[in-house]
Amino acid sequence: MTVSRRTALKVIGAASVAAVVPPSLDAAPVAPGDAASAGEAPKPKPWKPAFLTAAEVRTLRVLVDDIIPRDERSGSATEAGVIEFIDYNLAVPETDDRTRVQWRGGIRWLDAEATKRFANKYHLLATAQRHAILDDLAWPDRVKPEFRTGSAFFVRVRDMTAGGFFSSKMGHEDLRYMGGASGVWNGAPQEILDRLGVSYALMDTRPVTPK
Amino acid sequence: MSIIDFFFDTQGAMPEIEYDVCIVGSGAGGGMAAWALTRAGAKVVMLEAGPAWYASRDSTMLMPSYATMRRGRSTRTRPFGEHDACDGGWEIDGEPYTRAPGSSFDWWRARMLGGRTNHWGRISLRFGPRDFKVKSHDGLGDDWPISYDDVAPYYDRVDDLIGVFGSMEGRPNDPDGRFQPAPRPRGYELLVKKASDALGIPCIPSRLSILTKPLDGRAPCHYCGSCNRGCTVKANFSSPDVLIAPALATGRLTLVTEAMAREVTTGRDGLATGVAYIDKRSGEDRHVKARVVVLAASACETARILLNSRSSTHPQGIANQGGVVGRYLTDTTGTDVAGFIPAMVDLPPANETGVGGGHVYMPWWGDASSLGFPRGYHIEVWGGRGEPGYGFMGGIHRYPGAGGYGAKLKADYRRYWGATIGFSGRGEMVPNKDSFCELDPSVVDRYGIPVLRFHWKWGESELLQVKHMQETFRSLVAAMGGTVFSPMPTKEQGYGIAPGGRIIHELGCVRMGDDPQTSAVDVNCRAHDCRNVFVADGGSFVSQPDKNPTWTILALSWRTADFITAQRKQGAL
Repeated sequence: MTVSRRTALKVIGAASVAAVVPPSLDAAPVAPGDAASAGEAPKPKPWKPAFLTAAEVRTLRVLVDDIIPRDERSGSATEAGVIEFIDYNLAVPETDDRTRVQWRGGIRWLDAEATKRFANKYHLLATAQRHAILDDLAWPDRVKPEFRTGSAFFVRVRDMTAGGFFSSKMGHEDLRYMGGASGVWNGAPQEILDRLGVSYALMDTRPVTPK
Repeated sequence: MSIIDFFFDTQGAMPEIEYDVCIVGSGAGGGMAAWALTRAGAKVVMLEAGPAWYASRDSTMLMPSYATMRRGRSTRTRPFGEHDACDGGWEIDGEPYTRAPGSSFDWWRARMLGGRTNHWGRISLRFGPRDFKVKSHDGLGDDWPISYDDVAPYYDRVDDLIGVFGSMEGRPNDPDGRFQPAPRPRGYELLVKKASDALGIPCIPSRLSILTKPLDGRAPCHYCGSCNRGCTVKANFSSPDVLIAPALATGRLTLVTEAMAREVTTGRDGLATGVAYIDKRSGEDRHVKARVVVLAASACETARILLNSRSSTHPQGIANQGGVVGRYLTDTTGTDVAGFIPAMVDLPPANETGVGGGHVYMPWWGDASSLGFPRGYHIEVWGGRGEPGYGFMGGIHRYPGAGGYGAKLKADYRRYWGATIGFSGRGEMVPNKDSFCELDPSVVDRYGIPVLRFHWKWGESELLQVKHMQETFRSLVAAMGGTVFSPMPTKEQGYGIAPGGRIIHELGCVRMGDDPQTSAVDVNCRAHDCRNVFVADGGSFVSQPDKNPTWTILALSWRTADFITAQRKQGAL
């Protein structure tokens, strides 16, 4: 074998101590504003957005769960902490103001579109109404010209939602990601080789080398 | 408490003592020189511009991406992701460089113990016999004044000391080494091998300095795939854990971190007396005395120090009587293509992480006489199911039928995750007169050290070579039944060539040769005009083969250290 289990555990232990993980991340969803309402045992401080306004959070919470809803295999985007993830990554200095404006403005665009069509803000619409809007935005390769702006915003939110969801613990488990751990490597499982139509005998051949 | 712990904080104020050797830089070149010289009994002081950093102590190996809100996203000083071991980047606060009008060149600098050995992909290739004598083959550039046979014994020693895996192939210009066993390819890498066979491209096990067997108290790889974070069990090579710690253990190495070298000081006789540096902690100017100076600060930084080492005996700087320092600057050519591979959709769950790099690669196979460009490239392979992190599967709509929202979208991500293979070309650039660095006449860094100004131009040879890369990668993706994500870049887009400096293989600037008018250092990497100043990084390289330079930097540094030791024994230094 390779690295001892004890060493690996020690490393993992040190890592989790060193990591700054907000308590809401990957835990049960903490709705901004009502986190303290449960009023049980000592609670961590309620999450406060660093960049997004309360109104923006309301819209985004509904939008990201429309993008990645809960199903039989895993929870929804908000349950995986996607809102906190988006807010954090919009606030860090590596994100430029141009990008931030596209988020702020994009949310405004969405609410304006919702009001135009259904006389209410996006998060207050019925599911079918929201889906009617998303159907016009979610396929950038065949989007109508009048929805290009909204589609660009939607793709931006979709990318960040998927990034935040699948990089969470819930997302790793959803994908059944097994890598990144300490172990042994004896080659790919036979099942995968069969599916790919390859075998290790391929490595025995060489093309004629140039002189 | 280990010997390393003991030495972590032993810098501080130093008495004005004279060292046998002062080494500037702690990466592959500096670490190797320190290891060899301290073993030979020399009293060595090492100056490093950044802080101490040991992967065995400081790495975030095995930390999952979800442990932080960034999910692995880059930071300003870690452009390759927050967990990347290497602290540095193309821009460093307070340490500018400039570009001549019309030139674009990005200069990567590491600022930490171990330098870029904390960053690289551990690709550890020997240069071949032809690589040292390229001009004799195609009339371009220059031959090295040394041959493969001069370096081969040192490649062997580096293999034995540091460890590298690979396979015996008997290829004429890709010399085999003293290899540990190579890990088996991943499943999708066998698809690449199959496609390569169909196209007549050799595809062989990679050669990486990652242990697959224990070596000198270092554990073998446990296949977590995060080599770029640094390895806490020292299974891969980095200078601090593999070279500097043993050098410190001899008791003959004094390590000075946060020490920014200003210039090599010289006496009235023109010989070096030591190195002037800035202690970044206090901001004070300091000086260390040494009988021999070894510069291993990286090719361009070493050139900068030499150019700034001006005195009445060296009015143009040290090693620069021929005006060569800064000239013959090269970087590796590079371009990438990735494709969607339908055969990889919805594979059963498995841990296919492997080592922190490709398990196969393609050495150069082409015949220059029929291609229209003179020099070759190798191909690196990547893909499969990497750790989901920041930027996971951006642009899902590029996959066939994928996109939308809701339950269908969620299923698309699951199906298509990891069904991609990418290729990166890494090719040889021919040195040209338009690509060089010099001192900027008016700009200084925060320490008052004049900075470098870069001039850069790719030649037609490089552009045609990169075009060939793009076409080859597209053929490989097609041969695997896949589709590429991006259109073929046009000639106006330089066929997708990475900007100068972006592959982070700057070499040259202080090249070796027999003639002081056309070279800066001699065959032992000693300054032609200053017999106690040596270069032990990639600065001395005469050409830039398509093989990653680290293994040759190590071999040449060890060779130079042996020369210094022999000279010291004779009383000549």
